[in-house]
Amino acid sequence: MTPSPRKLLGRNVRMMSRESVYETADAIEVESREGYEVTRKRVLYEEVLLVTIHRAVGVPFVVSTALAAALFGSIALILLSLKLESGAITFGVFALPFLLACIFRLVMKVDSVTVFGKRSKAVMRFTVRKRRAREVYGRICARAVEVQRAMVPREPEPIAVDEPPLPPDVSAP
Amino acid sequence: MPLVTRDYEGPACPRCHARLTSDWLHSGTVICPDCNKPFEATAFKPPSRQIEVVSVAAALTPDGANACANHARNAAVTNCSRCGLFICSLCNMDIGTGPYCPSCFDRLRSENALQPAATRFRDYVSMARTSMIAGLFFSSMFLGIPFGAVSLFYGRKGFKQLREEGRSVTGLVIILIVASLEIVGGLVMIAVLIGALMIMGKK
Repeated sequence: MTPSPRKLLGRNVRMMSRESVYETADAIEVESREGYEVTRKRVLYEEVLLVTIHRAVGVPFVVSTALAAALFGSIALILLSLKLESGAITFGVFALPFLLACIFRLVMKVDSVTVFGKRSKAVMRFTVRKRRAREVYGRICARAVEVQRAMVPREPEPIAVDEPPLPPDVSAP
Repeated sequence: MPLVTRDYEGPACPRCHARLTSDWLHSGTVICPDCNKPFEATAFKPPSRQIEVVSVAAALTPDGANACANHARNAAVTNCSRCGLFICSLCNMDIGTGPYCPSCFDRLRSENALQPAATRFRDYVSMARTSMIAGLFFSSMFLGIPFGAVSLFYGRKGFKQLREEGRSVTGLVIILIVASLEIVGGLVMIAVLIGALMIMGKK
């Protein structure tokens, strides 16, 4: 069997998990990675119940990056007050990426597209490409509608019944 | 400690993960009853899958109809590719790898012989890539040879995996080329070292 080609729709990278979501002909394929072990599950278009899109800040990310920035920043400030400029600059450089990541997330937020099926779900998160999130949402909805509409059995067309010709009038002379 | 994950229970609020009952499944803007936050949704009512089962009586032809081995009243539509059992459309476990009866399907799946049915597997391409990168880092310590060899070993398995899935092998080919160069580089370094030692010994 030649498997149907698949196309990457999006990813869902969190602190403890990493998922890649692909589009195939008949389903959305989710690959979760734990080290070198890959777990694959599918959300069939014919079983899609709900597709959602929403924008959120992502509190755990903001809190963790803010804490890291605050930790390194406070060390940098302490060192600066002790007139240890080189150490302060080093810790300031450590703090900067966390601070930038925190501000970036607060400004941009993250768009999430979630597909709920009967037996499984798929989540995609888009931090930068907002238009792509909307596009993926529309694409999944359109494909689910198409597949589910094709599953509905069509009603048989009524058979056209012509009026049978009347027998010749035998009573006529 | 294994990560505790919740089993999937059906549609839920994408923000707070509270279960949504059927009353809340509608298209448009939905406000979660639990967290009171909005999200945009499109709801579907998927029709149940219809499998056409033909009874033996209905399928009677001048040649006769074979009954399913598991359902005596159902007419067989095909036979199992592995054991040859006559099976009806209810028993036909065809996922694109040919028709199998349920018991053969279970057996093949447990043996991991049905690639499309595999839900858990090892990513050999990533293993080959990691070995290749480790080989690059430690090539100055003559460890490019073993790491390159390991990369080639996993790369061969990864190549088979990608071919079975019909995915592009371009990235893997680059990994294999670099791994081969690590081995060649390591051998050249050893040869140069031996040569230098021999020259020094002669002097």
